[in-house]
Amino acid sequence: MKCPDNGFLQAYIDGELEIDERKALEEHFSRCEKCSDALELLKSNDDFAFIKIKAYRDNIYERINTINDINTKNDIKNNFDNSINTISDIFVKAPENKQIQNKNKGVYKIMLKYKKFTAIACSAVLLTTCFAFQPVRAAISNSLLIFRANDVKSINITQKDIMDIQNQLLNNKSVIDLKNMGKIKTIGGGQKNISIEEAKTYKDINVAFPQQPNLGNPEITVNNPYTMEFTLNTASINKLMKSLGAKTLLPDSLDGKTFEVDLPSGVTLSYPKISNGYFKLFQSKIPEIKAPEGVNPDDIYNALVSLPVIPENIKKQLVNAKDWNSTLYIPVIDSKSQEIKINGAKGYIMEPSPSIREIIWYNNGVIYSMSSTFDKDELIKIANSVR
Amino acid sequence: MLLESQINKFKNVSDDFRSVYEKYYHVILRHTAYITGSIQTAEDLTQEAFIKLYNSPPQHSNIIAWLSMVANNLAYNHIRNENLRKSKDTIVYEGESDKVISIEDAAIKNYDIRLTKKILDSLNERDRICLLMKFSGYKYDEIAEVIQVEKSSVGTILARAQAKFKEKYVKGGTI
Repeated sequence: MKCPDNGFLQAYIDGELEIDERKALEEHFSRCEKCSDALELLKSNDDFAFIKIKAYRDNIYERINTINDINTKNDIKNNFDNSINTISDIFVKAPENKQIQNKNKGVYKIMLKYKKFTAIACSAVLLTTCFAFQPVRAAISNSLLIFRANDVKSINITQKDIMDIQNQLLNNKSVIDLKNMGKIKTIGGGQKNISIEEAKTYKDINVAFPQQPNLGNPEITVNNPYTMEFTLNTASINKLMKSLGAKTLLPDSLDGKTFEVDLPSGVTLSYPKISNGYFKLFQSKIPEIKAPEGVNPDDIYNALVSLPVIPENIKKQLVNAKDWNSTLYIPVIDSKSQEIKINGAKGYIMEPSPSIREIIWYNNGVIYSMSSTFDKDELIKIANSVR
Repeated sequence: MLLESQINKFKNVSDDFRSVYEKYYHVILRHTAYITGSIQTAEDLTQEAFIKLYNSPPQHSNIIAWLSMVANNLAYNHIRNENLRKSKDTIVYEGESDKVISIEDAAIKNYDIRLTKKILDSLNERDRICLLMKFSGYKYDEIAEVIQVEKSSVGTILARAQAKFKEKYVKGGTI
């Protein structure tokens, strides 16, 4: 055979030749020093690239594993919920019989739609329903805030707490019977993209923008308002709570009562023009729970706070949260947060991972939350420019 | 009643989906991160792949093969688009690019690995995809299909890409 080209030799190295081709080539090597040398060079290039790229791959895997160690199953779950979010409209039902007494207006909590904003706290009806009921979990999505007007405070949660809750719930999975917990109806939901002009005249919320021209133009996604109506079957819920080891149960007076949870529309601004990092701003009015007349939300709160699945550490903080009717509680993981002022309003800055910072603050009935790779000072500067 | 049956249906579907998700999320994430070189991007792409799976599940039973294919295509397209964007941007940012270190890069403490990433980024997408695929165990016919060349050309492309890689690496090491 005549001397083969490098491509053929490379195919030989990679085991891509047919048997007879290989034999012929090996025979050729024994006679042709030039080709043997060429083969050696190719092999050394191959080995070199292999070693470097393998180290590169191992490094990526390792970094992913590190992230997992931080977020563990939680993140998978959250991402999962994000994915499943898109199908929440399966459950869109016509708003019928929507008139509900809403004397006791209050806000319990929200899970903000943030990939990395991993946090779990607890309260109210939603706790049971959220963990047990797919569509609700999907609708509310990732992180969860216990919630009220007037003030913001943080609640410390450790990664271990989150895992503890999940393990507990996972281990008790078999006894959760969704069908009998009560009825749930959801109205609305879904998301759409709108233009900047549309956003400026958007009626549900007065969309605020960071006044920082260097960010470029944002892409704007709107989550439509979403209403859930829960009608409780206290007997079943109490059964579940008992199986989770609860001692305080929901009072029978709650049986058959309907709660309405309104998640107002949320607006997410993301800035695709930023080349070396990312920046996102989420804003939404506070969600509200409308409880039927004669129902004391404290009953529900106390029963749920006493659930044994909730780790002691969090339980203590929640029980001590006497002002839970008027304060927005932000779950903060591992206390890596710092209180700051944004335009005079109280907020928190958090660092969920070494390269990501998040700020959350509450102002005039709107909760703002931003996540970015920018450094702290830069991010605070941007937050202060939001209007 | 209707709602209940809907809920049950929904629950079954989502339970299946969940188990697939939990089982394969990391496999897909790792691979897309390896191809794109960015965990952040990989998370988005993995997400997208699963949304595709949810919206239009494949008829055949080999879910992981289907997922890998979808995720791979997303990752390769991402590289292509990024290179396209880069070639436009270079005019503006020429001279700056060496000084700018991305967050992702900053997370890589090891100099060797950062250099490897830099060189992979600097290769054209065909060479880069070729190298990355080969070292994650793909055969020539699979590589050929992705980069759309004859199978017989893959060896040549690889031989050149590896030589180029080494040359750039040795140079990069002295700067």
